[in-house]
Amino acid sequence: MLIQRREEYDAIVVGSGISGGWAAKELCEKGLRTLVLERGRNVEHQKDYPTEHVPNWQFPLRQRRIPPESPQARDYQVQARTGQFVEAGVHFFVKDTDHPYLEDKPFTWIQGDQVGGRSLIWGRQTYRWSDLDFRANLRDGHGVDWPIRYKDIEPWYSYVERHAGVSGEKLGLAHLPDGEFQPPMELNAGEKWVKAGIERAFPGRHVTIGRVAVLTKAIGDRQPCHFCGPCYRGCSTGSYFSSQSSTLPAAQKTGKLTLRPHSLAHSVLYDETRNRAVGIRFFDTTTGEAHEVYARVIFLCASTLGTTRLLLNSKSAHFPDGLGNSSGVVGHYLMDHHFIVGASGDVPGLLDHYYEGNRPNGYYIPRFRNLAASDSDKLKFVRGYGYQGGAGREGWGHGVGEPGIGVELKRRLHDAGPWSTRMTAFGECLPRKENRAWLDAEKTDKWGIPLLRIDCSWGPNELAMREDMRAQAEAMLKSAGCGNVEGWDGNKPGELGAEPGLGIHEMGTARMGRDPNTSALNANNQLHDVPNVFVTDGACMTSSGCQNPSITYMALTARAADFAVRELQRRNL
Amino acid sequence: MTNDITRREALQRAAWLLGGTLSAPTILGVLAGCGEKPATVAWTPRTLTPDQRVMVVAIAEVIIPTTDTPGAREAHVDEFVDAMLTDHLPAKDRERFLAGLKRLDARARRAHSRGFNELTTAQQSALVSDMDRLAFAEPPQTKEAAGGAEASPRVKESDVAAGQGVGANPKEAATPAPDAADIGPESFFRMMKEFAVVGYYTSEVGSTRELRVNPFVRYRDIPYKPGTPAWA
Repeated sequence: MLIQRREEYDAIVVGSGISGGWAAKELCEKGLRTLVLERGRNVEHQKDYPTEHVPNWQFPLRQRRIPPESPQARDYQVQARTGQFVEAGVHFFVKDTDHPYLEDKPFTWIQGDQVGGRSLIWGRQTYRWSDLDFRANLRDGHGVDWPIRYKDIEPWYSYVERHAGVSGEKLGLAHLPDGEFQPPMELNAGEKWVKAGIERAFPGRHVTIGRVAVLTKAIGDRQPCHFCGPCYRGCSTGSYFSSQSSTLPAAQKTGKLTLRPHSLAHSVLYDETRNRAVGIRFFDTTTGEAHEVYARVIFLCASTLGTTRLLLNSKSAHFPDGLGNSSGVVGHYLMDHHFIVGASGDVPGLLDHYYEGNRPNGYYIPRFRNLAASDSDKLKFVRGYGYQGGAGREGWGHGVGEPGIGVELKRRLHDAGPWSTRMTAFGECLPRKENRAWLDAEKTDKWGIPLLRIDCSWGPNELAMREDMRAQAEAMLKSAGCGNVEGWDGNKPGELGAEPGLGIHEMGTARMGRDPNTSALNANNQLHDVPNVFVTDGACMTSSGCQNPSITYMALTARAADFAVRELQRRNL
Repeated sequence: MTNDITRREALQRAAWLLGGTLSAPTILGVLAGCGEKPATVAWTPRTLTPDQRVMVVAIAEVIIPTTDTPGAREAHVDEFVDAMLTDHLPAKDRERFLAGLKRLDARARRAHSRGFNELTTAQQSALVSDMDRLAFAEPPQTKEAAGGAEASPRVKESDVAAGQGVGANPKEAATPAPDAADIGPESFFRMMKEFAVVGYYTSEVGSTRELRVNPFVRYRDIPYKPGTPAWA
């Protein structure tokens, strides 16, 4: 049954995660009556963080990672592939049985299914992009050129950083621009030792504390981090950026926001005579009823693949291949950061040093490869990577794998053990047309929406880069003076291990570009084909960089909202 | 937000406001005093039989004994093991674990003509010590003969690397040859040991009385003296 009340808003935002929350805040604050459609359940800030501060021993399995083969993972066969799927966090992941998709090759799609989306469980690492990234496609010819440069987004980075709150250390690097930082968190003694060793052996490489969207100073009623540790359980002090702590309350305060959970978008409604989108058709998942709602401007922020599926499912006589897809690029050029490759090593000495507090952060080594165009001649790959890592003192866990029992074992596991360090690289992925997602011709979900089918794999550039990611991690730790340095690479071609998607930075399937024939969106995240539809989640990304992308989604969203409202005022939409 | 937050939630929120002045264990002590949930509640095993449960506790207590701090028994390791067996392990690993318990019991009967649970603590310790030594020995060189040789090949005790003097057992010569399934990384005892160690150090007593819970304070470098418990 279709419910067609003439419910009208100024704007509709699909999705309430990192991008949707920002769209809601910006549009509401500029005076637009805004409806946010979220397919998942409501999660109320503070009230709905049931595992926050619950000590690990109160969990029957002691807060353990749940792997796919565990009986508890029965309905989460994809979500359980990530190490982040742990006992205390299951409730913030989608049930794969409710929202299935098809993979031709292993592609792990990690999804939230709640208000706030994955902003509740994101890694919070926050790095600006630079012109090294915005000019990357132009420089080496992979993909199409970004229609924007750093100067276009720079003020918007500052704008979103001041509201979101980012702590970090300024380095003055052109390729990893400094932001509006709160005071940085501290490196521990082992990490300071690693930093000194690497920076001594490799002039020009840097080890710095992670730049994180976790407060070290209050912003409004959001408190500085209290160092309890597991952010992904939710934070009732609002210390890390989430839609709940930051953007949705700001939107709510305007009185302009209508937030509608349990509302699964089916398609964008399109009026061919005016060449405008007029609204959204969605299902109320609690009643099963279809609804249509209308607005003057629409922001799609349903996550890279969610937005892609929605565009492809919005078919009309004018857009038989999906809304805004006259170029045919929608669904193609899927990217993710490739990782789970790096090295670990022992840090000698420092046995009179320890640390206290539970820091939700580690160290970061900014990109050092292919900074100059001339570097590419020496390397077997284009683009680059950064490392994220940490150091700490060994705990009782080694007792599991060593012989010995009784009083002797207990004594051996009592003290803090030796120091060690471990780092994993995050590498840029090239945009390749064959990495794609499309609507399956036969299979649908329980709402009758065709399932997304994904075919994505790492290419030769990623694989060549991985060898360097591993070798350089080993070289840096050895040069720093670490013992027992061991490199690793979890990638097993065609199998699970370090498959695309696992980085949870999927992006690129409705890319921005200068030419409507080779891109879906223009420099303002506006569909070339339909000017009142904006896509500001990861789908818009023209290249992948190697930095964690969320802050860029935030900045692009705020920038696009600003543009959209000005265009509305000029009556251009 | 809601008006009906429970007292426990209120205290948990107060915990961070006090941040840095109260350690997590203290806060947790306060919470326990809230009458939320008694430290020990009656529970019924869902996988382990009563005999198996007694056996698991006894083995775990040999692995992590009571000293000046509580051991595995007081940490309710059996509850953790039962949860792991019921809710976490794939069926084949669950079967492997239960079969291992059965073999250990049979081993006890062969050596002492009594089940494991009827042995003296010293006899249990000696058997568990044997199991640990076997579990960390090189697995036997079995020929992967064609066709599934279902029965595990027996190896001679002398094939197995000598123990490291931990709980050396004078009755060693009298004990029967071990099953190949008890030797090496895939042995039942490696699983049992992992359960005992993880179950103990992640328990409330393991985390707060043997070790310490890292408090909710601004992260910083601190000095360390040997003999100070590690963070749980």
